[in-house]
Amino acid sequence: LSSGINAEWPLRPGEEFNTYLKNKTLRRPSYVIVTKTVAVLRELVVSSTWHHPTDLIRILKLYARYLPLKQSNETVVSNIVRRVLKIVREECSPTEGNAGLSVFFKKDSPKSSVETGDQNELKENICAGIEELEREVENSKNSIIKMALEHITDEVILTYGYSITVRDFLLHGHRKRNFRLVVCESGPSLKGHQMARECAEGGLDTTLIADSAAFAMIHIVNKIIIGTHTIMADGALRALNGTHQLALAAKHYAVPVIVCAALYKLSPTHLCSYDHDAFNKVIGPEMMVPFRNANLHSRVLVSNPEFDYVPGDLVELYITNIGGHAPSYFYRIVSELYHFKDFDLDSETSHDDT
Amino acid sequence: MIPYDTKFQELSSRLKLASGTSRTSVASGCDLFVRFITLRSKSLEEDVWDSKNFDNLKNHLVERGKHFMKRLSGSRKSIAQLAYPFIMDGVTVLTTSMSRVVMEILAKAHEKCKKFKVLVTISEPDKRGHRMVKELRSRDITAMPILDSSIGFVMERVDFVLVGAEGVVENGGLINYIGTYPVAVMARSLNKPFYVAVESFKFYRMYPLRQTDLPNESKYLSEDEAEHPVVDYTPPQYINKLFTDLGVLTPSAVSDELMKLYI
Repeated sequence: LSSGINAEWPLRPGEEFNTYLKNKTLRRPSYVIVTKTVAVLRELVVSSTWHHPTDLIRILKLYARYLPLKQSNETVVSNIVRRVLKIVREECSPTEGNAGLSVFFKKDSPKSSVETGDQNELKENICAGIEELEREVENSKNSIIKMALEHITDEVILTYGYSITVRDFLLHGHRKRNFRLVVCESGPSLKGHQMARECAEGGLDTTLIADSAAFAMIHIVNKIIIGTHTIMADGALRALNGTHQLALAAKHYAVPVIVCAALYKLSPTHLCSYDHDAFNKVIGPEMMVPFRNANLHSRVLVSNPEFDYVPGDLVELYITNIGGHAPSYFYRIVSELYHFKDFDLDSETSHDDT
Repeated sequence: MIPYDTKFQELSSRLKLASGTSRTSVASGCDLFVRFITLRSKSLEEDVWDSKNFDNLKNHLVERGKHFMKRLSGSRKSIAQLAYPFIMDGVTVLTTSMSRVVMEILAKAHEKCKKFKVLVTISEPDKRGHRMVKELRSRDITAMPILDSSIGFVMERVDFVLVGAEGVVENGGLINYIGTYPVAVMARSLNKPFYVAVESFKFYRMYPLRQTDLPNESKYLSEDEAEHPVVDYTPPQYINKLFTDLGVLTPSAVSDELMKLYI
């Protein structure tokens, strides 16, 4: 770590979280990771020694670089760090706002617009901001599922993969609406099986189909409701492997694709190349070829990518905790939730903060 | 304030006439400059504006002008910083005519040791594509000129298209040297990403719906309409992303940025 931080570096909460992230055997819903991240960051704000908000910003950014974010592929952690950074920056200089053409019209404002005298008040304000973020995260799923009755009628809905948000969305809709659910088994992880089981246990009329049957079934489906791992800055998706094909099939039959996702999944990053170099992750092939059969496939390269890129124009509507949006609107939400200086958490120029 | 205002108008129109094919970018740059240096901010500068001291006011305007210039000259570098990750090893980039912003991006990617190939359309009538190729080759970047008519042939081998801009209009559409529109349509038809690299001072308050909606002084170098136009308009649906010094934007974000400025 750099020498820019003082000696009282609160490693303990950070270290536990670090180990937690590195542990890939745990199956972790995004919501759990997000709540843990907010708690760790709050701990960091309260217990680390900083005299000026820019020091705090530097500490948070260094902490983000210390976490194994690339290995664990949990973009929600970086998103929450960015949210907290925005809270801190807002306390630091409330009039700054976001970069825009109006950046031409602002002279470089003096660095310390906040006296170091009321540092305690500043800390309190930042903690209040973080608590508000915590509440938003807690209520995000409920805000999404409340909109179920507006979007579901008596129809046939198709879903893909396993998403807690989508499952609860559908179960909430089931209270007053009568609809049939078709679930694709979502190979090779076969997460669709768990989805089908849980929805059926909740009382829904569920049908499980193979992914290859999706195109054949789509003409009787009225809408597709899916979850996602991440929402990119241009309204595109980084979703479960196989979602892009489903979205293309939907487009062919003009079936709307609706994505239910909380805003902590929104990441201000873009897809840089169709080769998915930094975008995708290849996971173990044991889902496709069990280890006992490895001999039969010893000369074959078995590739099991985890994610799929779905361009924004294939998605009709996003249902987020702040309401329904078109994919083209996300540039606006990104500029409201995150500060442009935090888009790139890896940048080496993290000391250039004002 | 009236005398100096007309002086600026005069200077702007003379610059526009002199700038040949870059009329649109000069026009938007001038508009923004005039707005910037005459902006009265409520905070610190009240006394400067209200005082009878003309020298003070003059110094203030000059200082603002310098500040504006500083922002502008940094914009190409920040665009290059933002855009070079989109150039991966082994890609083939297609570009049109001569753009210094695109040059900066490609140079940055090359500096970061990426191996890529650039195809440049020759861009009739003044064949400025050759200048781009020469400049790229002088920096050791593999560049090849291609005929404007062969973009259809070449497009399947291209990974993405990256062009500069004369101007970006309110709906996110692009005004660029003639020949850009067919490249955009071709890229869309073969599903290749079409990226635009543009500085934010080129955002222009205009909402053309068709090619004929562009003002004549942008399109034609002389009064004679029988001449060939020098720019064309690419509608926003053909553009995937815009790399600007305000960040990576989608076409829908452009009008938002313009509104923030004028309201």
